Amino acid sequence: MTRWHLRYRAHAAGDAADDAAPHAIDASNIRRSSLAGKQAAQINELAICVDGRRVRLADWFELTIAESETDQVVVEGPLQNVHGLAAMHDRGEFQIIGSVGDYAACGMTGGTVCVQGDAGDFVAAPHGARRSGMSGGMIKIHGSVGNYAGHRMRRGTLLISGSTGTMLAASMIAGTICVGGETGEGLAVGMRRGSLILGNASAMVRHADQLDDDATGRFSSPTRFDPAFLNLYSDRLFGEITQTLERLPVFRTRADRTVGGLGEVIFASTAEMALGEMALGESSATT
Amino acid sequence: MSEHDNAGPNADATRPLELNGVRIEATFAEAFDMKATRVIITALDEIWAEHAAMAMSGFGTSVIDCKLEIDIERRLSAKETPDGRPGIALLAFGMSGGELEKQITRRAGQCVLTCPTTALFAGITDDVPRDKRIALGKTLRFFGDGNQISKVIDGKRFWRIPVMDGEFICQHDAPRTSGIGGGNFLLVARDIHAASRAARAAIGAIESMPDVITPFPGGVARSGSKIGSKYKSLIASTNDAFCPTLRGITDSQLGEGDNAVLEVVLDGLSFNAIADAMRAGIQAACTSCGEHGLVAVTAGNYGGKLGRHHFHLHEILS
Repeated sequence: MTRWHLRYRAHAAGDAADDAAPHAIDASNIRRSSLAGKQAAQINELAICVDGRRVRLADWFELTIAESETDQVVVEGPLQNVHGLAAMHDRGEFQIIGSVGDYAACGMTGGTVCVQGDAGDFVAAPHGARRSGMSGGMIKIHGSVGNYAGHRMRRGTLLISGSTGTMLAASMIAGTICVGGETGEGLAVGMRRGSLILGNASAMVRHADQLDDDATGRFSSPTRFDPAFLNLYSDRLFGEITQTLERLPVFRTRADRTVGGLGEVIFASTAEMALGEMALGESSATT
Repeated sequence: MSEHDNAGPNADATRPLELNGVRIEATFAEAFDMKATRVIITALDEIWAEHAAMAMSGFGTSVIDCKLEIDIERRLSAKETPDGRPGIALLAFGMSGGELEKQITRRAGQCVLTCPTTALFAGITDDVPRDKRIALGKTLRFFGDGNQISKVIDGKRFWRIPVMDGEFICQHDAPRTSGIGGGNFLLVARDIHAASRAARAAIGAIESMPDVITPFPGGVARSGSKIGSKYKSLIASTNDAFCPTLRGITDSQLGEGDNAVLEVVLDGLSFNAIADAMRAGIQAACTSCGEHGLVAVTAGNYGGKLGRHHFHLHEILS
């Protein structure tokens, strides 16, 4: 097995000494299946796309190869403008040290992707023109994510320690998304199936309260729920995110009912709910 | 200790062996290959888990007519189960993979799915091919009528089936493995009281041991059988050689004062698991009832022609 360590060259070839230069780097070619079986020289010649131009990988990333117990790809640096990292990741571990751009782990099929920072839009979304997003494995994001996380996700587990932008789990087909922080508007729009577990549902409740009647029809009436299956997860980050669900009464609502969806949104009761600001009283709950 | 040999019933006859005054016959128990699996039932508390386990292991004494030999292997603490609730591990043995799957699926559906608060998991973690796996949730999920939810966690698939107390959580399938059935020893005693005490002491020593079960009621059978019968429709009939009431009219193996015999039958996941359990059981019986009515310990075999696993009593106890 191999460990490929790629360090982002902050001041890349011919570039001005400006870390914040708005280069858009499509690094979707940096994936285990593209690196496996290649010598360092071949990997250095791999093509990536910078601002629409095809360049050598070695111009932007410094490569180190070592033996490892499992296949491991590590990408390190200020990667906010690096998009498509871990796209189509299939097995082994893909570690991103630092915050990363859009389309991280899009179309992933297996293994683990770990982001030690924030991620941009479209995490776990479809890759390219494909119909489905992530279809296996686990993504762990230790920071926050942008919009459309889990878009069209089909299988696998997406753990987000921080908050999310808008349209979380939009058109989700199946799989599990677990969020520790607040969520933006447009949650579960077009969600068909799958599980969305919220450690902090305050924002969701606030948004739901502001929606008009048509929009609130996206969710079924919340009911009391015993999420016994959560005990099967042994992942530490999962445990941290779902801590509140162990302490507070848990509810479940189904979404998106406007498209006949049977996705589930599982959340703990919030302070707002406890104060009766939303009609989630015990009387309407089925236990 | 020879696991497989073709020796006859008395081929290992050596010097006489006694344990606490109890004669250990120079013979062997003959056992055969079976297919096996382990399942784990968990529940909100030990009581519901026990109800489900008792129901699932009911009518599972012998493959002769139950088609499955199944019993509780051991109780599990909350720390030992997949979902952190108290549980019970059961071992099940069948003559073929197909029959084992059929029986397990039926029992899981009727005895575990129905029992309040329970969940069902595989108890063997071996990575085996799909055709060597026994369906659990794979079949039971259809009870959810389309409302069932699948979750793949750490590479294992689980089904969440909506039921009236919430959700029945069930692992997709359980690995099937090789097992051995028919390990046995017979306790020959002066009377039924001594035989009963000896049998209970033996089972007490065996029940905490891993990878082995004693599927008969209380772990003990009184109706030891031989192969065949004068009636053509029967494949087994009473073991007349050990029936005290037939002394004098049949080729009995009992002495003048031997008035009660009880048999402990063992199924296990390995030769050593059964051998260890036989040793513990025989030693406990002899320690408890030697000089108090237990006369001899012997074993049942078919001349070495039926099963390839031979448990020689003298070798086990040496």
